Formats: sequence, structure tokens, C-alpha cells
Amino acid sequence: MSTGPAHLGDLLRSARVLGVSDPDELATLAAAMGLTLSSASPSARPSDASSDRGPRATDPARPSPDGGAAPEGPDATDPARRSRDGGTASEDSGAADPARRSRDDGTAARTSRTGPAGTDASSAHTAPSAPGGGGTSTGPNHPSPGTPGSPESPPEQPPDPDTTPPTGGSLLLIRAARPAPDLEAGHPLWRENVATDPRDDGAEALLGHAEAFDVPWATAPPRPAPPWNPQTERAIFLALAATCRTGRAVDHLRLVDMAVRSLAGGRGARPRVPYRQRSTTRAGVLLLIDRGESMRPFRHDQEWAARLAARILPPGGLRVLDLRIAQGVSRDRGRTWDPHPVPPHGQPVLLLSDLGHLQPPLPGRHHSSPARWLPYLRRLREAGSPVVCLTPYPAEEYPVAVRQAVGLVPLDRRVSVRFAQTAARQDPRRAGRPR
Amino acid sequence: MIKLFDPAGESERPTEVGRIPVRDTARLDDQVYLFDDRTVLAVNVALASGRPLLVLGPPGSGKSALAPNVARLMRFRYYAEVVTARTEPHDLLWREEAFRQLNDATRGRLRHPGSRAYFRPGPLWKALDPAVDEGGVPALRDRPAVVLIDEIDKADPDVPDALLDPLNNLRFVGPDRRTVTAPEGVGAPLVVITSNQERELSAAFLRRCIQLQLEPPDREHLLEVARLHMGDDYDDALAVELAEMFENGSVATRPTASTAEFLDTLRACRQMGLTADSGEWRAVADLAMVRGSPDTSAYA
Repeated sequence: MSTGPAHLGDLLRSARVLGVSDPDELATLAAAMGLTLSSASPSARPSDASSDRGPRATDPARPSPDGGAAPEGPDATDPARRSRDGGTASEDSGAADPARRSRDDGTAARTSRTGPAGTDASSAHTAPSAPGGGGTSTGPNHPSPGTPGSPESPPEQPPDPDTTPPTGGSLLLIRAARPAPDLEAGHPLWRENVATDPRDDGAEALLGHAEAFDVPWATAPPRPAPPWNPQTERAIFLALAATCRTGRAVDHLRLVDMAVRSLAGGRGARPRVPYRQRSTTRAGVLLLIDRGESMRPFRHDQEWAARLAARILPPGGLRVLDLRIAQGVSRDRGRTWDPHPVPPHGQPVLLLSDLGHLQPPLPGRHHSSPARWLPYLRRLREAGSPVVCLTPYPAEEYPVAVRQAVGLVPLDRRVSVRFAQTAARQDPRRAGRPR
Repeated sequence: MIKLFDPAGESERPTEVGRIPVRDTARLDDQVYLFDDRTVLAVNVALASGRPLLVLGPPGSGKSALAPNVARLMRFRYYAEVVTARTEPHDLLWREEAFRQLNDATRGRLRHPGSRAYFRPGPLWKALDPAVDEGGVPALRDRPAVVLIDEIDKADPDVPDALLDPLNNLRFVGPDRRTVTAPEGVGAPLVVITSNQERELSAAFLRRCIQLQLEPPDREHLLEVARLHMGDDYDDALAVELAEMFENGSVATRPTASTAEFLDTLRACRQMGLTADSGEWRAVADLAMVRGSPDTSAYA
């Protein structure tokens, strides 16, 4: 929850109304409101003392104002400590539930920005043994092998998203703008792939501490940053997935227009109530994920888009199918293939594909070209389904025939909500014609 | 076992309508609620801060029953709106009687366009202004209100976003361009919003709410709820057996089994005359306490 002024005011108002004056009760009240008080709990005092070094000393994940990583304490390079931290908030947020993980990440990021350590239990617990380390997990994405305060540097260093290009990721990362520094520092995305062993399964009692043998960083490749701006991705997706339906609110402007035409002696229309159009996701969405070879470099973007759709659309409104234009669609991850589907009339189709735009030097048997997509795209349009293709490439790189057949929205940070609305609502048949 | 429905003996058996429980009177969901400390604190914070209380939790955990019980205990007026996929942003404020307006216009009896005759106040309007609530209890007219907005995650995302300002300021501009707010002397309403978290709410909306997450029930909680709801019909041995069955994995691993299903099983066993000694209660529990878990995979 936000620590903005509105909620601090709420806390003060609630405390006054409820007659709360004791610091512990105030901390309980603040916790119930989702606020964190750094100095409210006596247990947090030791870490507060460590915070005298400055705010950044307690929040290693937060970048310094000049863009560099914050200074780290001695424990930042301690593999055992890093291994212990592997089971804390950033990873426990749950890989199985992307929506929840997203929310948890946001909460964690906000919490880490609230200032000194001691704001959560783990930080209060670890503060005495790590005077400079603070409470939040430092994250191996800011290694400091040459730091004077770290006598034992680990033999190897984890991949650093700041300097290392993500392997297997999207080429969009090269073309698009970089995310905000605090987002990168606050979201060590590559750590989300780490499989965390359950600590209470009794293995530790039998085998002893295995932390010394742990790999000090995750071996999973880093996950690229989201292709759309996280602050607007929800609105962009809604602009693409929503359809216009007649609502229940009267359209007064059209009503006045009808009345004026009637008074002016126009053709007498039978009385009817004009209703406003509203955008809704009631029709659901058919999400087609292109599993062709040319989309292999963008599989992370496809997974991201599917997770985003699952977060925003109602559970029964989303249908996800793997698609190969030469084979059809698969419901079982490629074991069997069915003919290309045509959704019910009016249901939007979101296509995660480059439409065969990428031409590899040695194309395989599943490679396609834009010309092979055109018949299916036209079939979808004729069936009354608005089709939008989320593509890694700019729309200008596609032939006019493709632009006329489908709305093209790049997987790019520069895409705005307005652009998405325009792309989704304009008639693609006019897209290639000069204005 | 008592059989309320028996096809074999249906023709010979005399009519026993009285034995079949009337559903509304047999349930005490609106009259009994087990408040834990965290829930009480969250309600207090929501009341004190004037913020909506967003109640999250699995289905059947008592999210929707919280609001009427708070209203009952505090003697507040109570209004509820169950949100569906067709709910529109203004439905919680008012609904326009367009056909009535059209009918009056064709008959030449059209009133002022902002006339209250053409607008039906929604629950939030009634909660703020008891004067527009024609069907309300007169004794509670000067009391604040509790508004339940149930399952807001079913609505399109523009619905919660459109409620940001009315919920934040507890006032809105009505169809007649006049500001609707709580009159002096009547306190601000407590707005309770529930969500099954089937889809994500916007950050702006979440920021304006006091969030209460109801956790899956443990054994003691289940037994206490059973005591409260069953009253004199509480069978301790059967409740303990059911709670153990719930807790020990045969049922609790299914995501949809919750307190409501536990109570359903107890009620069914009581109506059918089953006790912990009879082995048939397990079959009843398999039917009543285990609900089919929906396929959460989006792969069709």
C-alpha cells in the first residue's frame, strides 16, 4: 500500500478516532493499513542504528542517484548469506501465480523504498549480523568483487542485467528504451527463475547445512524486461482486448441529435432510446501464440503477454492456443495440431507473432512468410473478429497487404495507450493507404 | 439415515413438507459471524479512516457475510450490490429509467429532465442520502450505512476505476447535477468490497482501500464457526471428524472447499440424521464438502 500523504493522513486520523497513542498499537494500526513505520517497533532499532550510514546503506538494491548501484555491506558477497536470502520475499512471491508475483513485487519494491531497514521481519532478524547490509535481499545483480570490505570474493559472479545482455531474450531490449534504474534494481527478474527448495522437509536435519555447496547465484538465464511500459501495459492491453458493446446509459448527445432532426422536419424515426457504447472484455479474447521459428527469440515476450492477459481478463474469457501457420493450432503444447480456429463473431483475436517477418539464413520446415498468413488473417476478419497482431517489429516494416489485413502493435516501450486504441479500432484495410 | 427424497417410497409416504428446511430460515449467515481480531481491526480502521474495506480471500471464506453482520451489530443501514460482467460504472450510483422517460415523452407528460422519477438511486446513493431510500427501515434512517459491493473482480476494469472518486470523497454529482453526499448528522458509510482475485484490480483502486485478506480456516476456526451457526443442533463429534477431514488433506487440498462447504456438510448431516458413529457422513462430505475445482489453465 502506498506511503503517500493520503494514507499517512488516514493513519493519523484513524489513530485519533480510535484513541491510539501507544507506539506498538500505532505500529499494529499502521500494519493493518499497509503502512510501515520504520522506528515504531523496538525490534527495529538495531537496524535503525545501522541506517545512520545513510539511507542507501540499508537498501542495497536501490541505485544511487548518479545511476550506479548502492554501496553494499560486507555480507553482500557472502555466498552463504546470499543462499539464505534466496528464500526470502523476492522469490517466495510465487512462480506459479504471475499476477500475485507481480503484486508482491510491487509491494516489495514499495517497501524497499520506504527507507531504512527493519521494516520487515527478515531485515530485523538479519540486521545485527549484517550491520551494513540492511534487511532487504541485496540481490546478486549488484556484485562487488573488488569491494574492499569483502575479503572473500566468490569464485564466480552471477549475471548482471545491468551490463550483460540477456540471453535468449528479446531483441527489443536493444531497440527499446531501458527501464527505469530503480525498476531494474528493485526487480532482479532473473532470480525469479530460481527454484527454492522447501526448507522444512527434514533434509537439512539429515544432511546438515548445504549452504556451502549452493551455487551462489541462479543458473537460470535472466528474463528480459517487459516489452511495454509496466505503468501502462494494463491500459494498453485493455485497449486491444476490449470490444464496444451497447451499454445501458442513455446517449444524451445522440438523443438531442435525434430530437433536433425530428423537430427540423426530418424523416420521422420511430421512438427509440439511443444508448452509449462502452468498451468491455465480456466477449473474451482468443490469444494465439505463434510457435514458429521466427518467434523463438521472443518467447519471453510471448509468455509475458500471456501472463498479462491472464491477469487482466476474466478467467473464462481467455483462450490461449499455440499456433503454427503451416500446421494449425495446438491445445497440448504441440503434440497434436488442429485446423486454424475461427472464434465466435465479434470475439477479438490477439496474435503474438511476427507474421514470418524474420527471415533466418537457414529456415527450417516450420518457417513462414507474411504471404502465408494473409489467408488466415482475412478469414478472421470476414468472420467478424477484430484481429490485432502484437509484433516485435514496427508496422512500417510490413507489406501493405499485411497492414491492411491486421492491426499491428509493436512490442515496444514506446507504444502508448492512444496508439493501441488507434491500432485496435482503425480499419486495417485503410492502414496501407496514404492519408 | 433420514431420506428427505426417496423415489421408492415417494408414492406411499405422506406429505412431509415441514421436514424440508426452508433455505432462508435455516441459514444464519447474516446473523452469525465469527470475527477474529484482525477482521475487527480492519473494520475499525476502515470506519475510522473512511476508506473502503477490500476483503480478499477464497470463495466461501465469509467475505460477503462480513458486511451484513457489521451492519447488524452496529445497527447500520445495509445495501448490497452483486457485481456481474454486465455491471456498468454508474450502476452503483443510479440507474436511468429511459423507457419511463420515453413513455412520458410520447404521452406528452415529460417531466424535468433531471427529475428523480427518471433515476433509480443505487446502493451508494442510498447509503449517502437516506432520504432517497423509500424502502428503508424508518428506525435506522438517521444511522450510517454499510454498502456491500460483492465480487468486484467480475466487472470490467472500468467499473472500479470509475468508483475511485465517489469512494475516495464519498460524494458524487447526481444526474440532476447536484452533489450527493452524506447529510450532516449521518455518518459516512462503510463500503465493503469483496473480490475473489480472479483478475487484478488497478493499483489506484487498491491504494484507496484498506485490504483484509481472509486466510483459509484452521480447525479451531471451523469448529467455532460450526458452534455459532448450528446452535443447539451442534454435534461436536461430527464437527470434529469433519474438521479433521477438512484439515488433513482429503478435502482441503481442493481449492474450492471452504468454510461454507464445511457448514453445508454439517447441515446436510443434521437434516439426514447422521452422526459421527454412522459411516455415511463420509459419503455426504464427499458430495457436499468437495466442490469441483475449476480448470485454471487458460489453454483451451
